[in-house]
This record gives sequence, structure tokens and C-alpha cells, in this order.
Amino acid sequence: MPPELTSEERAVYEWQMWSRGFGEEGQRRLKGAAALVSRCGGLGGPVAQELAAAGIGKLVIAHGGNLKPSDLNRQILMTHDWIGKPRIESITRRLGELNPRCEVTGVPENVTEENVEQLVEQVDIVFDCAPLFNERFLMNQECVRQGKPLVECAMFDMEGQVTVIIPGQTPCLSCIYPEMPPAWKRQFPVFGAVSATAGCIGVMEGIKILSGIGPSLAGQMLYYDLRTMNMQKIPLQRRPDCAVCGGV
Amino acid sequence: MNITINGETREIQEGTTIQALLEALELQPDVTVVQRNEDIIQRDAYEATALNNGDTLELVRFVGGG
Repeated sequence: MPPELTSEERAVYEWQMWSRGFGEEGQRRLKGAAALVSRCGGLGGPVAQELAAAGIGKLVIAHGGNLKPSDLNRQILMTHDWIGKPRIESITRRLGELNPRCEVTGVPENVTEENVEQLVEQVDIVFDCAPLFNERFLMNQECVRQGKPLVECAMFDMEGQVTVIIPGQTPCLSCIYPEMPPAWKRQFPVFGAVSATAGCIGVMEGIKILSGIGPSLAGQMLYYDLRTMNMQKIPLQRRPDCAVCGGV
Repeated sequence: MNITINGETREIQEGTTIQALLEALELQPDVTVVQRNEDIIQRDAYEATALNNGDTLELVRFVGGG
């Protein structure tokens, strides 16, 4: 059974509990849920922020490295006074200020082969906000193995894409990309508002999955281009021979 | 003949396949979704699918920035 809400929580979340189909039951489910967000930069920062503000019970945040000036145009949980210091400390501090009711576990490293199993084990849902495909593939593989939903959020320049992967039901990331996309670079053009758009759409997908209201983007890719304001949903198909989810 | 790509009209040679179009646009077929007149074209059909005058294409390149 999802945990009860305190009277303080009822007051804090009152306006979103008015949302059709969500209600107090949805809020309780959110309180009882844990999510992994990795990484927590231009895209993952808004994801973590909105999940915390909405009242998710627990966040596990994986993000390595020290803060650089070039992070600050988009990484909304970082502050100028923290340049040169561990990003994860700024993230956990800001989230704690935003919603002290949310339990936040900060992991000062990015997703790797060594830590991915243990990170995914701690949560009910994963938000993939990594800038590198090797990290995305690791989270995809582990979510398929553990049967956990994965919200895939990605962007480039003014374009963004969000999809929901439900292992065994929808295409997984390796169905979409059978091979590592060549020539993808760690650095790319980005406005914070473009990455935050993908993040906020991803958060609503996660909230819908966790609270049982739908429909979600499972099996569909939502694509937007903020340069042209074109937005469309593209159906995705499973690959029966997928090396990751083919046998699931 | 003329086709529409992501809302813009473009002239192409008759008989141009989806594969040839993607190559001309320098888009990687493996990471590009092609929607033709509202139908998604399977990637293994790009080579054999010739475009027709008046076709409307939506080309979406998958991305991975975070």
C-alpha cells in the first residue's frame, strides 16, 4: 500500500491532486516511489527538480565531475559559487532546499558497467538523461534485465525526443539504435530551455507511469523542434532480433 | 519532381530512393526515421523504396544529448 500523506503534504501538493485521475491516490503512489536520474545536467537537472517538487519519495542521482562555467547556461541545479567543486553537492543541496521531504541519494559518479546494476536496483523507474550513448545503453540494458520502466529523454540543438521503454512490451533503446551511433560527440549545441522541455515531458511520463494514469509514450517517440515548433509522435517498432530485449 | 521534406518543397530526380535521398542530405539511415505520407518506412526498405512526385516526408534524426 502506498504511504499515507501528512497534512503538510496534502497542503503542499493540493493543486496537483486536483488533476483529473491523479488525486490523493496518485500522490501517495508518487510518495512511495523511487527514481534514478542520470545524469543531472541540462536535462536531468529539470527532471530531478520537477520530480522532487512534485513529491516523489526518493531520488537517486548519479552525476560525476566538478562544476565548470560552461555548465551554468542549462544545468539548473548548479550555482555559480560552486564552480570547481563536485556537481553532485550542488545538486543535492538545491534539491534539499526545494523539497526537504524528498529523500535524495547523491552518487558522485556517472553510470558505469560497475555501478549500473546497483543503481537501478534501488529504484522503481529510471530517467535516462545522459549525454553519451554508452551510458544510455547501459541503463537500457539494466532496465530490460530488471524489468523496470525507462524514460528516455534526449536532445540536440533545438530538437528533443522522449519515449518510454517498458521491457517486454515496447522497443528498447537497442531496438531504436542497433549499433552505437557513429560520430556522436560529448559536446553539442544546447539551450537550457530545450533540454528542460525534454526533461519536463519526461517527468510527466514518469508521473503517469508511477501513479497509474495514462496513456504514456510507451512505444512512441515524441519529437519536437523548437526552431520550427514542429511536434510529432513517431511509432517505434521492436526488433525481434534485438540483442538486448529480443528474448524478453 | 517535387516532394516536401519537413515542410519544405524540394526538387529531386525521378526514381530517387529513400536511401539515396538520405545520403544526399548526409543523414545516417540507421538513426533516421522516415515518415512518408504518414506511414513509417521500415529501415530495411529504404533502398528499395522510390519516392513519388508530391510525396510528403518527415525525417527525424535520433539524438542523444542530455
